[in-house]
Amino acid sequence: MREREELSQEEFERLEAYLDGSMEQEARVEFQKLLELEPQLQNTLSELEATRNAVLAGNLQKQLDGVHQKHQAANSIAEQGNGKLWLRAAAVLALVGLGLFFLLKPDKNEQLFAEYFTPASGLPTQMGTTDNYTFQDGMVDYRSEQYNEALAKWMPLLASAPNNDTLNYYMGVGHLANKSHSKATPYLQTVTQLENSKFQQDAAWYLALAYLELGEVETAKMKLRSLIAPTVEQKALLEQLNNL
Amino acid sequence: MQQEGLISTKIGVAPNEKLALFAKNDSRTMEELYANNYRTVEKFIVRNSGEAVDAKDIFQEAIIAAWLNVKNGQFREVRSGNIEAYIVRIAKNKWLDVLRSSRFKKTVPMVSDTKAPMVEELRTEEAIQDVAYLKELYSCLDERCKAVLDRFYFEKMSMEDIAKELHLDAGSVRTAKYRCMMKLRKLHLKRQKENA
Repeated sequence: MREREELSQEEFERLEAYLDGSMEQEARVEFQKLLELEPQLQNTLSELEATRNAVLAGNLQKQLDGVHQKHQAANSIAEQGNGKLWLRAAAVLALVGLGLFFLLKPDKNEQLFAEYFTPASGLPTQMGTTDNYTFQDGMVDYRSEQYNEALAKWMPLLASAPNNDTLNYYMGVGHLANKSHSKATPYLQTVTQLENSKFQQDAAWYLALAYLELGEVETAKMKLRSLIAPTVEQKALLEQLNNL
Repeated sequence: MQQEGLISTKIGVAPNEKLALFAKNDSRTMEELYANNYRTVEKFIVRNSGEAVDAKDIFQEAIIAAWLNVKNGQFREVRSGNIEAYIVRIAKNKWLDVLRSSRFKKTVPMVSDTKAPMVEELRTEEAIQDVAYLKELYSCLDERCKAVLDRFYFEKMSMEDIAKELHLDAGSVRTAKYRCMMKLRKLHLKRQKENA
């Protein structure tokens, strides 16, 4: 390759063919060997990827601006419609009454759970013992959002370390992410009882979310009140639950 | 005529239709994504020292970051059920990043926990920073270049079809594409040097 800033049309088109996958297999293998030998070529390739991404990002931005306008307009119409219909809606609600309130309540809990729940970040992979390897292997699955696989790998480890806070914490959050909320609570409870665990407060937060989803709002509120230094988000959820 | 390109080769591994439609920036999929998640991001921002108007940029940059990662095959493990959650997570991370920035440093306490960012978070933050930069880079292109490059890279049009639309011959389109990409690359290298 020549100077970094110079690139002939032929070279450019060759790099393009590699990037878009249209390069023949044999040529591709050769090109990959060359890439390993020439860091400069790798740089040039990255530069071209960046320029292609710039075109894509600029265009998607334009498309999203249109989607945003449409979304805002639809919401505005819906709000106006809601305003005009409020009397009729109130009448319907009066007729349906308390029964409907109880029917809707679980939905509201699910909605709040979905709004507030974000799975805990996974831990970075490290080298270690055999058990640690199995844990890390599960962590790779967890980070890839393959919770079933992660839980299956972690489950046997509990036999030798039933009170391990990291293991219990990620088992609990994994079950929550997997929407098996009732299975999550025993693991999270174990962590909340471990005074010295760095996961204790986070486990209490996830436990509150689990109870919320299970419809045990009072217990969820109790868990939220137990947080030592609640974040703005955690305070907001408690406030919303108090206003239910 | 549609060219075979990045999507078909790299998203061929996409396990289902929804992710494939997202990668193809299908309008209806984007609208659904907006309808399902915009409010969640907006609420999160408002609850965390922001204003509703902040949500638009944050949410759009999150979509673009996720989209580029999916298209470029960097997040093959993202499955359809998770793409929306993935975008919301990027948006939340981005907002936390804004809160950590100088704009909020003096007045706003840290919202999130203080744990060190994990690998996933760092990767998404990097992708978000790229989006802002890429958008700025694209905005520097002249309209003539945009006409060619938009059609080729985003709309996936063939050289022949672009030539027809722009009343040029295919050879001229090919040359224009090369020259415009070189302009953009030159600008990119200049920015890199400035930031070095």
